[in-house]
Amino acid sequence: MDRDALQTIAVRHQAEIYRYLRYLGADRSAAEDLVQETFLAAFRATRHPDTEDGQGMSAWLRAVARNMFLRYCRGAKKRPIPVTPEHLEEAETVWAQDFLGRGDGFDYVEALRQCLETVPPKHREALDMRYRMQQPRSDMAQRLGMTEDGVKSLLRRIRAALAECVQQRLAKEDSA
Amino acid sequence: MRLTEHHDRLIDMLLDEVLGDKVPADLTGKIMARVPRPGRRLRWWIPAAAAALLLTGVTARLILVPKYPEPQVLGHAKAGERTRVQRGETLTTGTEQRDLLLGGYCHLGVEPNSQVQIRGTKRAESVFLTKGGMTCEVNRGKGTFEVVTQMGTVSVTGTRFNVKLVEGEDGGPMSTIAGKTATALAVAVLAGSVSVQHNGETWNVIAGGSTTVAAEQANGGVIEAGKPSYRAKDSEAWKEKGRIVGMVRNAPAFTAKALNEKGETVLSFKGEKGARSYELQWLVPGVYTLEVSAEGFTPLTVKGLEVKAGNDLFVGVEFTPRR
Repeated sequence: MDRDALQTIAVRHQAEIYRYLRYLGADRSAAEDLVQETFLAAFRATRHPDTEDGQGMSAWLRAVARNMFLRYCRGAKKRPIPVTPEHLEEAETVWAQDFLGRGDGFDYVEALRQCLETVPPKHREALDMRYRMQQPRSDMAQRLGMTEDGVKSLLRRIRAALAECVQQRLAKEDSA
Repeated sequence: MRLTEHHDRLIDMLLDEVLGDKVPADLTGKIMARVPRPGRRLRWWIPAAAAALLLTGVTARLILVPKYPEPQVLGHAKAGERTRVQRGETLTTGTEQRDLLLGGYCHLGVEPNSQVQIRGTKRAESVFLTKGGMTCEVNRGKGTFEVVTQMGTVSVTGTRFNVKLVEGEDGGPMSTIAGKTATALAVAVLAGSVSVQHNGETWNVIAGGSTTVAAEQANGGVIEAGKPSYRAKDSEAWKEKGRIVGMVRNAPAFTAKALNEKGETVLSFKGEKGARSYELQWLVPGVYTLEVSAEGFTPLTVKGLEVKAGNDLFVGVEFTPRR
């Protein structure tokens, strides 16, 4: 792969690979480092998919990123998630089938935006505190009159409801 | 559809982006900066070949170039025996002559009842003759050699010669460390030529020739040192080093040297006529000998000067010419 080809695929796929690494469990700083390592490994690779084959290149870059993440987790003192090759393969299945099932993930994100409109006010407040204002769980617990475990459990329930809502919307659009 | 922890993390990541406006940074520049430009991509074998060449060179040098010989005394106890001696050591002969080998190219036959201190460095061998005499044989082209005495210096690059201090009684103008008086320095050249420096003059003596320097001539001016004192330096740069400095009065052209405990010259300073100061800088902390010499003056030697890190050691020097 030459420099021009690398620049092309970096521009085209870096955001997806960054999201993918964040989804696998990397924090922002680690994800940025691993994105760079992924594309440098792609540059050095002797065999790779055609750079014009968007889906093939995307799947191949994700495989490279998974290996990078696995190596990073094995070397890290504090592992972000329990990582095994099998665990990462399951994560890849969810990403490829559910998130990218209808293309590049744009539909999934749009469905999520619509589902957010239907979230009850108390749940929306919790989401804003957590994701928009980045408040720590202890502050949220005080504000919402709950325990920290309660906040954790509430956020998990909201996300599960959103995931289900997204799946239903996408299924509905497919059937239509 | 079964919802798993992967779905939970997927939604978590997307919420971070959608609600928190955490869009991925553009990393294209960082990625491209880490990729070598065309034509500058290093071929793997170039550093490997360079390393192999270097290793071969170093190995060949170690094998082919013999290690520089340390000073040795021959015939120390029994015939053929060699004893290694250190630079800075003084060799005193008894009733028999001893042979001294320096750097593999200087063979000195030190006469009975002589005293000589081994000085110099690799390929610039030097001895300080304080008593007696010696025959010197120096191979051409391997390095320099000089015999320093209180009465003058004999320098050669390749020759065979004899140098001798002629002693008189106590109380003469040139007292030696042996308590005797050196009244003359006699140099006889057996092969090649030597250069003799004395009282600011230099002359050559060729094979078959000889020269004698009388003590009266050597006793020129006097160099005196002031009392040493320290002053701390307020600089990070001198945290691990020190220096010997001093004011100079009535300076002719002179040389100040710092010698380590082995008698090796570590640093040399050449002062011009009328110089007001001298400095021997960046010395590693330790004990040094300060030697100051000038044409027409009896050399000054100040031993046991302790150089301390982060300190200037002041030793003033005054030249008093012969009246």
